[in-house]
Amino acid sequence: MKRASVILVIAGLCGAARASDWTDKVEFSGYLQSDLRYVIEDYRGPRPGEGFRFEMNRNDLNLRLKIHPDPSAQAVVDARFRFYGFNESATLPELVRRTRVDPYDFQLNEAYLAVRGHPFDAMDFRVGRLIESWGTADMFNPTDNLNARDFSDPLDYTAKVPNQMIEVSVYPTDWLTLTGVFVPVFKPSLLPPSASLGFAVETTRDGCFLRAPTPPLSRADIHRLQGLFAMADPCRLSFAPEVRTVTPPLNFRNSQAAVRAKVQADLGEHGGALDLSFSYFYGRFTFPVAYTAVANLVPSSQNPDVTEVRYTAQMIYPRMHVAGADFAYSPPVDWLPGLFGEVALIFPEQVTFGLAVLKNGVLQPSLLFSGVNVPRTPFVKATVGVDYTFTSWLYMNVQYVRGFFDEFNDRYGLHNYLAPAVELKFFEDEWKIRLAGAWNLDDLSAAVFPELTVVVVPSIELTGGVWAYLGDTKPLDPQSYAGRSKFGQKATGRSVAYLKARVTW
Amino acid sequence: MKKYTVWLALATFAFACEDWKSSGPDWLRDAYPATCSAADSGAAPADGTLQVAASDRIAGTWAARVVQKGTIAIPSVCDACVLTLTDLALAEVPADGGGILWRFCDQPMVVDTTPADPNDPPDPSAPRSVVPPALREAGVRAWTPFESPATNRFPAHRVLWLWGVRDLPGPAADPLPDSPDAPGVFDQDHDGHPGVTIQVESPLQGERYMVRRAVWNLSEAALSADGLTASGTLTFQVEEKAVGADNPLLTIVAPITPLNDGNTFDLRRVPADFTCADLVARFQSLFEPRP
Repeated sequence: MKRASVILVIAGLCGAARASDWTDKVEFSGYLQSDLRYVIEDYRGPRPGEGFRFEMNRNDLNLRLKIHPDPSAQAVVDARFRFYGFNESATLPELVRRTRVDPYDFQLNEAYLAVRGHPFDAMDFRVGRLIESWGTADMFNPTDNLNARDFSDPLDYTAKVPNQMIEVSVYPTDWLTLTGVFVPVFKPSLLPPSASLGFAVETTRDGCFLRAPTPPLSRADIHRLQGLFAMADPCRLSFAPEVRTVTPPLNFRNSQAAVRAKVQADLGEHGGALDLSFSYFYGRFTFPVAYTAVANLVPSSQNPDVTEVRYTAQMIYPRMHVAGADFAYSPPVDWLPGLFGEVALIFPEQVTFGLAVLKNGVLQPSLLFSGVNVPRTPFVKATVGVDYTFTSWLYMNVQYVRGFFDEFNDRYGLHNYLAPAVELKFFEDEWKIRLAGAWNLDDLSAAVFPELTVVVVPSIELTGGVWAYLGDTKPLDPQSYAGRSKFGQKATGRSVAYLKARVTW
Repeated sequence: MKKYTVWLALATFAFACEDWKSSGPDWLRDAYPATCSAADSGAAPADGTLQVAASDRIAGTWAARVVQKGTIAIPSVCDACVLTLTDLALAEVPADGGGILWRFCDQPMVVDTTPADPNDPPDPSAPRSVVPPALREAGVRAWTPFESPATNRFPAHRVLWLWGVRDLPGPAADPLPDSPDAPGVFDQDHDGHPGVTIQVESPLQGERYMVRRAVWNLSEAALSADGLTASGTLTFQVEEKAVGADNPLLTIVAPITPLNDGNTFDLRRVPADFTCADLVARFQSLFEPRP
């Protein structure tokens, strides 16, 4: 119903545009993209040997409409239809439902109104479903916390989850912009389909218990806990894990807010240009962190010799204050690289993790483990980088990143990364080779993504590439929550080769 | 409009300044109250007896009292006051007898400043400090593997405790750091201060943030005939360094010189769900009095 309403609105607006001289007031853009992916390994799936198959067969239609009913006002609707291309029907009755045979969904990326110069000349505001982008670094923006991240497609790791906001901008001078944003309702980040593997209990091929995820506890507690299960016959343990997330209540207390002061300074002919921002954010970290876990040991109703371990974990989104600063400097001469950086000082909510072992639903007080998962101590996430255009066909960008998108100062900790990217263009920019990656400097795992884009005709692109993860899929240290390799662990996703075709208008 | 904006900002700021804390263990205790009977769970019943089965093996859970005597010089009080540290801990020996896991519970401290004249009142400035709840609940642990699996007697072994510091290349012998920024110093009791916090009550008052190393060399200990207790002697060393304090005078740490006599440990078999709180509340009656 909601989808239909939005389609009607868009169609109505288009109709209105045709019916009058509104054509001058309407901008219509979008793209159509086909995306085919193939898994190029067989060891990163739930079970060894699963791989070398199609992972995606997707078609996206994106429509973006801008309407200017008045010179000072703008309405924007950005919507996407996505057809997944895989049959999901498994029973005969489902064959009569198109949504099972040819599943699709609809996503409203943005839908807002923007007004300039109201109610005061030096004031703008935007209200509606928005995607905000703060910070000056290239994609790794620790000061950008208003929208949650959309990692549902790991290859599109710059995507964000839109949210309803009220944004007010004030321009006291021509070099200073003050922005305030209020986000009434918290939204979490979308995780990749592989995320559940981070909490999966691994079994041998014959179904015997092999390994459970390491909880965020001290080494001594983990040793004791592992000892508890080590005493049992692994072939007589049946794990039923479930991970829940605790959604913050929909009240004002859980609303989010942010303010930013942005300075744009022209340092003169010999000084270059400097953008500088200071920001403050109050809200929640959009990736969940471990909060509780319960392992309830009950005799299996099917086989009394087997012990069922009903493992239920809870995760929460910790609250935080973020004091941020960022800059971008463009030098006045071509032979100097551009510099940018941002730093976020995060004051987190303390989260104490608790793990209880229950026998037949009764808490065993001596088997209640606890440990601080997120200490109250403030911590820093930061990015600093340089970019440089060597020639018209060679561009390079290198960033040092402290703390990945999903990293908080929990027991997994903040890691250090190097993220280089090189772009080469040939044949009058019709061919573009991009070699990019992210390298974890702590555990030496990496994600690499070489890609070739060919502009077939203007506005039509063909892109082929590989997205590969390098690193150990098994924990480097099974008795440490931080023992998982960042890009090596299975939860990060599959290594794929892809082919995309895209037309934009 | 302006007024509402100000109120909105103030309300947001007020919420933002709350003391944030999410405690998983508290949630678990609320969600899963231990409703089983004492007999079912092995917990201590109200009459003070312990429902624990005798065994001729050391595997299981033990309550421990470790008494360490030393001297300490306290300016204007005594040059060598006799100090008694009574460490209370839980110890767990796994079924394979491969080692022992110690968990710190509490450490009552007594400094003997008995006046020379018994008619004089006790010295009100007698040193006194207590372990705050944050440290008691921090779960300070020490795992000691036995040289070979033990079955029916506790082998002589060494327990190394480190408080407030970790990752020392030589944990048993390296000098302890004396700065909050030194490598390895961490907020083990999660109270926002480096190291661990000790509450000093007398003669000065305040909090001392410190790192500490304690080494116990425990003698072999045989099980009693009923398999419920074991006792032995120990030698020990204690080193402490202040890495901060809320009163600068508290950063001065008086060294403890161990005495050769009177250092003992007692182990008492307890049910698997016996807690530190149980031990702290009942240790006076749990162990036989020592002369």
